[in-house]
Amino acid sequence: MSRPRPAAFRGFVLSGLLYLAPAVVQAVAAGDAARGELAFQRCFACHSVDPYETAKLQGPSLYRIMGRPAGAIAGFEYSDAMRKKGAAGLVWDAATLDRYLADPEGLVPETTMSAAPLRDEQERADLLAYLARSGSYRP
Amino acid sequence: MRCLVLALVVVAAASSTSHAQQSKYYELPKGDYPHDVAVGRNGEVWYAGQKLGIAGHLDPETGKLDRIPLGKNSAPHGVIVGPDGAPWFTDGGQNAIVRVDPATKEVKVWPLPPERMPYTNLNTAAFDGKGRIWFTGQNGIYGRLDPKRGDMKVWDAPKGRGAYGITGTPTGDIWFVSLAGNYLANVDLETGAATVYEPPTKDQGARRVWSDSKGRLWISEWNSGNVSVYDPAAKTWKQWLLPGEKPRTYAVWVDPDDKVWLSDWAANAIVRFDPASEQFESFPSDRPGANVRQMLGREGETWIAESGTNRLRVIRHAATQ
Repeated sequence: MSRPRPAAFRGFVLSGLLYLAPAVVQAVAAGDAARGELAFQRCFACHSVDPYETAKLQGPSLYRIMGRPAGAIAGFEYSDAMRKKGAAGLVWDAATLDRYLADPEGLVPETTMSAAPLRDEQERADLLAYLARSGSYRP
Repeated sequence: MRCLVLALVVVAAASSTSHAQQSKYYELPKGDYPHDVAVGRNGEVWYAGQKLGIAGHLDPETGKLDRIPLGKNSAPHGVIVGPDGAPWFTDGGQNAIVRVDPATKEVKVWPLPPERMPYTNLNTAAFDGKGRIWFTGQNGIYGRLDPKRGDMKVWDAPKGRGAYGITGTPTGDIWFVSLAGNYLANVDLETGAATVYEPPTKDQGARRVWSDSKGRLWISEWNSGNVSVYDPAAKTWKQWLLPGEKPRTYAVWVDPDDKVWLSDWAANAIVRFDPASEQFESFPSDRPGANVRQMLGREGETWIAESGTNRLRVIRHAATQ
């Protein structure tokens, strides 16, 4: 299902590792990004990590999600629940993303993301390692 | 399997027209998260408990509830009642089509071919006129299972990811829509080839589809807030914007009287559209954030899965003229 990506995007993925904060690097070290790319199939229908994605998807881009405040992408129609969490200071990092993937409603009650809880700890670590490959948030 | 008796809340309401209607709400056990709901010929109700991986089975008269685990990693998205009277689930967590025997509660699982993709984000299913179940996977596939032979085939959806709602027509044809691909498609029942039909509204976000008694395809358009209809015989489209501020049309079901039931997330309401008068009638939920993703019904009953409030709702209504 993976689509060919422009060479420039592959460059983003590699160089993105340089921008990760040390704590994030440590947190995602337990994960395997290659396996995480497979785990990302769970997210693929609604999310993209491709900065050149053109499809109008139901979920926000996860490109450079690490370090991004919740509800921060301008123009994306977040749920009220997610907007409030962002206003209250929720920032996506390895720890908060891990909690959200394990129990979306637990971290963000009334979230409209309908994904089932991802119960496998290793799979979550793999997914985080994959997401971290695109680097950290830069406003 | 656990058996419970549910609390029932009954709300009688006079709608904006003269048609009497009554809403009942069934509170489900915490965490069940009813994504989709279906009702059988005898009025028994099934729902897909997506976040706990269960099939819920409700007796609406007594409130008795059975919850049947569907398997390790189960996360059922859709449920329909098949021509055999059994509930059939599209189980994203198991990447499988799952049937529950309504009498014995035995669970049978047909996994998708793993070499193709381990996770296709299975969405919804519909039976054709030959007893075969067709399904969509939001990661960009659709497929067909012949339960008698165990034969399963999977095809890539046009334009990749987004394949979402699917429906069978009275003549047994199969159509599906693509949310990210913004199209309606008809499949060749033998070759599986899909023919794409583009709705007139660009980037409309065709989320779900249902056939009326004449084989016309009614589509809930999430991005545009429209309900649209395609008539394959006349090859014509029509569309209407739902009432209110920035409507978000999610679910669609057409009742036996050919009235079109829709859910609007912006209004937190179920909306009934009468194609003859082109009028909408609203049935708001009694709680905020109902987040109705799907509904199904039978004569005089519309069943609604309120994923956001963890409840089932039924609107009982007199047949309209």
